[in-house]
Amino acid sequence: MSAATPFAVVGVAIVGAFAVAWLEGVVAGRPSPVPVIRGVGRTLSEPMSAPATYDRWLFHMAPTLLLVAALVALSTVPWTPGFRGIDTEAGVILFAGALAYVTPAVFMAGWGAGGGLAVVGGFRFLGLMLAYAMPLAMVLTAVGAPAESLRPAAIVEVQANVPMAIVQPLALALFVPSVMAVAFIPPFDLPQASSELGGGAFSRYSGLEAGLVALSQRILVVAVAGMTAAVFLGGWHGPLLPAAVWMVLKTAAVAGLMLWAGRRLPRVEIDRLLAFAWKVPIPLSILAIGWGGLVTLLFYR
Amino acid sequence: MSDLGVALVVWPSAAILLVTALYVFRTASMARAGLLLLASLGVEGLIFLALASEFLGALQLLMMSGEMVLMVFFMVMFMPDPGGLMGMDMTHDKRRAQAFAVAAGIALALVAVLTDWPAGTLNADAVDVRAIGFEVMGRSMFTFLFAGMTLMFTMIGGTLLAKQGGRYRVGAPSGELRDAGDEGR
Amino acid sequence: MVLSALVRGLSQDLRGDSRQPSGELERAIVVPDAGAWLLWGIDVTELGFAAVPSPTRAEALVGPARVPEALTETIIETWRRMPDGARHVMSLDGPDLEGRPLEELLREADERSDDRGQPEDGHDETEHGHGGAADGGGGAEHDHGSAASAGPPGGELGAPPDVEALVAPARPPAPQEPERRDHDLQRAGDEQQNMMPIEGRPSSDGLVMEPIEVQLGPLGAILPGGLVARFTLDGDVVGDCSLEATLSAHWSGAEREDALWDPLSAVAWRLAASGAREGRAPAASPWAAIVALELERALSHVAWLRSLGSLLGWAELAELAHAAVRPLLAERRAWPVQAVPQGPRRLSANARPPAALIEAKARVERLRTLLEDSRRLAARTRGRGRLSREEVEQNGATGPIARSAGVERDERQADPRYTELGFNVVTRHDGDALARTLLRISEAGEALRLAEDALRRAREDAAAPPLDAEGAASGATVEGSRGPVQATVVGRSTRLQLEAPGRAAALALAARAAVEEEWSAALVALTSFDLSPWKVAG
Repeated sequence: MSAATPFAVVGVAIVGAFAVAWLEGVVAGRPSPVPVIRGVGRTLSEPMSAPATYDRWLFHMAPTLLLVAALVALSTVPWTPGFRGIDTEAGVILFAGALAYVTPAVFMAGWGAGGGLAVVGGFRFLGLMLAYAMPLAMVLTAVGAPAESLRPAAIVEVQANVPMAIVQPLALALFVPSVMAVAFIPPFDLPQASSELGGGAFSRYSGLEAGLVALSQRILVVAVAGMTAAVFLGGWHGPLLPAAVWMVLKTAAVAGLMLWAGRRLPRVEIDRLLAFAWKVPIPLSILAIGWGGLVTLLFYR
Repeated sequence: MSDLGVALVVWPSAAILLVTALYVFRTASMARAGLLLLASLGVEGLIFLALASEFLGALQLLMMSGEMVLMVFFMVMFMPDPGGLMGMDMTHDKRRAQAFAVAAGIALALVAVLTDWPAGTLNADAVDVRAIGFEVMGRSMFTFLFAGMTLMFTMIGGTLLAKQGGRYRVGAPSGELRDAGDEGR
Repeated sequence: MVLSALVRGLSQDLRGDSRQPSGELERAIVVPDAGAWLLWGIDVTELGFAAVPSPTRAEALVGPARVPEALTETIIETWRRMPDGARHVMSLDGPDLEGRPLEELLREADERSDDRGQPEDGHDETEHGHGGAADGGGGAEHDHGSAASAGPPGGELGAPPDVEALVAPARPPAPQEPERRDHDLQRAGDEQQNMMPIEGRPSSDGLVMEPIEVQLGPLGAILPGGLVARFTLDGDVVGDCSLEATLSAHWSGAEREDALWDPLSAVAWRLAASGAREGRAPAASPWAAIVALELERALSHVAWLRSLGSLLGWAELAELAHAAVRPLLAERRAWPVQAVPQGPRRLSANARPPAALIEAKARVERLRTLLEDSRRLAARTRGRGRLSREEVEQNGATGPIARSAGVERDERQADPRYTELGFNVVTRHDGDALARTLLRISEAGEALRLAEDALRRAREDAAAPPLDAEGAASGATVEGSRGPVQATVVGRSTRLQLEAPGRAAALALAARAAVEEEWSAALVALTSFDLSPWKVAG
């Protein structure tokens, strides 16, 4: 990690967030990027109101915490052999740890805002966390096994010949919904559910704070799509094109798939989701860890 | 990180850690208490990271977030006045508690100061993940196994006990209890 | 499975089936709501607006030229909560509701803000657009001549009805301290007993919680505009629910309680009224009446499906339903409400069935295949708001609500014209939200088939089968989209008594269905009843 890394990460964050917002329009049938730019301008030009809140400190801290969590998660993603973000030995754990701070941030937003529906939005995200947290962490362990390391760049390196998606498809199938839930994009958009909660946990924000929340959500999408591409799709490996291009293409493909699939599915219901999550994905994640270990012993040694 | 860098991170973090931990008990709002505790323990994770213990630091950050938020969840579920606005005094047995706290504090301080901690300079490249892995799978396996299961049973058991007034039937108005079988769909 | 649904969806996307009007949509508060405007012939999306629930980030207010008294306070409050910078107004020509003019209301809203010394008052540029009217005041980006179609439902049957209102002013929920409890502190004199009992009734999971009061409506884009729902929440489970339809319109201008009608089923009411006065099948064009009625039914059900899709957060369903609405709107515009029951003036004998109708049929069919055997729909709607057949019969519910619980009652059965068209009552037996959804989409498809057949007969000027003598009694009952509507002539006058049996039952059953459900499940259950916010006797 060099001195330029934080700036590079922030650059990737901003460009990536715009790209995700544009992708959202594309999968909805609006391929022009102009509405995105105008939307940003409009949001930022709104006056930042100080609504009657229940807990002012928590309310105003939440967007910042969300942004920090998103940025740190993004910084653990390795993009090219030369630019690996924060290249720590326990990188995927740091990734999961940063994502873990999304939960208190959303909770603070809901609790701080304080209307009945906003608090419900915040608490629903807590329930969602109970559903996605374990599969997310366990799958990361499963993919770390073949690389014998928790460093994301090492996991990319070990996929030089075969992407992890082919070796551990169960892990991929568990990982993608989990990270969609972290980034609370449809069908997991429980905290902000505009049609059920009227904006829910984020309804009282306007202006810069609302912009921060929207930005952070898109950065989260970039981060999780990037990590999926790195850890399951072989990262920067690929013939002909340079490493950075492959990584960008794969990230865009994953993000596009997530956004597109989200439109096809109704929002999940938290009680049914929790009942399902504790009975199916969590045992399957344990199975995935076992499978990862088996695969390591058979093929990667 | 250089010594100066480490010092710049560790000492202010330690101060923040203590201050936020103190405020946990000064606030009456459950949400703030839980989130202040999260801040305190999260900063502790930063200290680990600064001391080149990457795995433990990242793990600390990861676990504390989920744990503290769940703690807030449970507090809001079970405690009266989780919002802190009723001005309720939730301390009990003040004298005994103070005495115990002071005694425990002194004891821990003595342990921290008087123990001969193993000290050594580690190579900055030392991979702590491997060491921790061997430790967990070897000597500490039982500890972690049972610790995890105990925690889960505690949480579930606590919820069950709180239903319908718990073991002592406190709080549940008589004659209006719904059927035990009439639980959520 | 999910995968096959995704693959099918991908092929749909590549075909460009559900293209939305591209171009930016302004966030707007639509009064009373977007679905109602669809039934009145205007698609607010085509005008460039996207309905949003909360005024704090809305940029425009779209509403009728005259606002019913029920919504006055709410609109003023909503306008004041909208950000000052870029808000503007669009008033649409819809049914001729009586009430205060929209601009006047908003001016009053601004004056009230002035009185309270609001700092930001500079801008106040309100733009008024009338879709399709001669003097556009500028402002509307897409000028579709869509407003003229709905037309005033007065016409030859009397003066335009005036809309009275019962006010349920919506105040935004005050920031609740979510868990403020009353409790007793430690039991007196009991040092050892440290537990503090929490008083109250335990909810169904055994925990005692502090109730939260939430009110939805009359505006808010979650429920139909004008419907007020008051909930008491136990956490996120509904403990108690009460529903109120707050809007009202009086037929022929007289303020009588028995002359309330529902503008959302305008064709059905007009047919009932004309039937009561003149005998069931107007001699002029019996088939045209059926075409108009069935088109309204199809439009009502598909618009409801769109609102269901948006509630479920299921963008694909909302888009497909919207895509099906557009040709239906186009077809509906060819049948202006005041021309019913006379029918449109010219129908050439050998013209092909209109392309819009065919297109609508195809899209509704696509919706039907999306929904039937769809695990995605069943996951959200199965078992929600379940009604048994006995419950339905005891409460006197009618319409699709009753038919989805197995009660085979439909006013169209008694009409020989429908028998000639081969009408079969569609029923389902489960009585839950899934059954109601599937029933409505089946009815919509069936309605379009009936409309096409009736249109063909109307063009051929075929004779209608005669009614039996009792049919021409002093009253007429027509099966509207939400249930039967009934008009009776009072005594020897020309006064009409209007009734829609089953409306009150629908509200009561819906409120009961929402109780003990988790929040989103409760909203699904409520929406599945397709409630109308207009008060009607019965």
